Amino acid sequence: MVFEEINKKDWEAIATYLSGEMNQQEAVDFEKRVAASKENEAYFKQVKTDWEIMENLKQKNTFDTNKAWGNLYNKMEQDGLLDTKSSINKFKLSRLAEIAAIFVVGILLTTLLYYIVSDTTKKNWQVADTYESPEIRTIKLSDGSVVYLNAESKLYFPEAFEGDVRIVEFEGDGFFEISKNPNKPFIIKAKNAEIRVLGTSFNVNTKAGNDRVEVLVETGKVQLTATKNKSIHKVLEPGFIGTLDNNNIKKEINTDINYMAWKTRTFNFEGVPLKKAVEALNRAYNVNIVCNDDRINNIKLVSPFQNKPLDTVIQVLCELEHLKFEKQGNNIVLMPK
Amino acid sequence: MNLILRRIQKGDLKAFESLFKELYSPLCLYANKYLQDKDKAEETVQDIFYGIWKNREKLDIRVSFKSYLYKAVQNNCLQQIQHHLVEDKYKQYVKSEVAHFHSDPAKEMELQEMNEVIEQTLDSLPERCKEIFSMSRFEGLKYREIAEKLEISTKTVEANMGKALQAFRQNLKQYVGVNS
Repeated sequence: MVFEEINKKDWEAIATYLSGEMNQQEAVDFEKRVAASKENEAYFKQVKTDWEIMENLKQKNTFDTNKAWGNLYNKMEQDGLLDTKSSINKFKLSRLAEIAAIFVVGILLTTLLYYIVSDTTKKNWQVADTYESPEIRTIKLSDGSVVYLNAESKLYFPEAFEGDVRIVEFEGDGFFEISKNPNKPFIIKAKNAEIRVLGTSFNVNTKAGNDRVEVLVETGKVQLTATKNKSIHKVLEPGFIGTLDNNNIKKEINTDINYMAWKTRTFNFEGVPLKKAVEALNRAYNVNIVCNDDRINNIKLVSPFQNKPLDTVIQVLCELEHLKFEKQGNNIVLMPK
Repeated sequence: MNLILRRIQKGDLKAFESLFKELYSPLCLYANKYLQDKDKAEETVQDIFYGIWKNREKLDIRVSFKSYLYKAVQNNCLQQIQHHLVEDKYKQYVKSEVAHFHSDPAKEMELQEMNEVIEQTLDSLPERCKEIFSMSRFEGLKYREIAEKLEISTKTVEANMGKALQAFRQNLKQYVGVNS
């Protein structure tokens, strides 16, 4: 083994040595060969360093950067460190108060008109829903936008978008890919929320709680507004989740890595507690998996699943975590083996 | 020189976020070497980033942002350790543990760069080779276990391990001075 002409067999020997696969005799022989020349020794030391540095990589994933960013972001927001523009706005506001008042009247009138217009044009509207079939349904709209409906969801939309805005109505859980048109905003009405975009992709879920509407942004920017009080609104950027509850909007970094799994069919359960995994599965497969045992609920899972039927997922989970399942009516109950 | 610093000083949250995401994990690793406590390490690094954002307008950084952060982590950790120095066990511990690794931020940064090269190399390996190497080095599986799992011979495992190791050395050539 000489520095310049180290060959395939030597590399294999080094790897076998470093990974501890040699028996004692082999290891002794190997060390002798290394010690035979200064060059060998120096070179081997380098390779050994490479090997040892990789120890860092093992640990690298123990820190959850996205979660940490979420923490930091929330803390900065709480402490008012994110309103970089607020001081400027306040100043201008007082000077513009008069003009603003005029605009408010204008906006009110426009809004009124827009409701009248949108109601009269509803004649040519269609409805698509997924109440009967559990499959994800894809709907192409006349402007090229695409909507994916998860189970038990419904979309009302016009045959063609006329006027200055593109409006649809929505209930349930769905992913929207809105084609870009800066001159014609796209508006989704969902429960008490109005979601306004120019061209972007995002998820809307109205099934997360009674009056709750959740919006997760994948690309572009989305404005979430409370229909009953238009002054309540927030702009959401990619990776953020906005939650409208009654008349309050919360904006947070999304920390649920499986939020979009219903559509991607890719579940990453590594380090995820069983309880969270069950929520993701229930949402994606439209089933009711139940587990009332807290010890089981807190088990951290290890396996990813991609495009697997529910039966397989449940069987593998049970096998790996030493659980069993029982079908009780509409529920699938998980319990210790 | 410090474009990212200027963007952050102007209140560019996106720039701040990307800096955070790039350096959070390596900085935590570094802090953990001093503190030997992962939660404390994370807390320390988050506090430092928090301070940077809060005081961004007053920041005056003459070195690269990266060097600055490593130095800040080091100072902060040393202060924390100092705090505990009164306790005897900590004295012992600092003597035995901390003295063992190079505490120089510059070296730590070089190590971090090497880690990046390693990751890139790993990604550039043929899929099988990458899989085999990861199972051995990162998951700690024996050759025999890898062979069984992938239904291949241990000879194939051996060959791929050699190939991977060679690729790593090839790409890490420029880093000759580092001793671990």
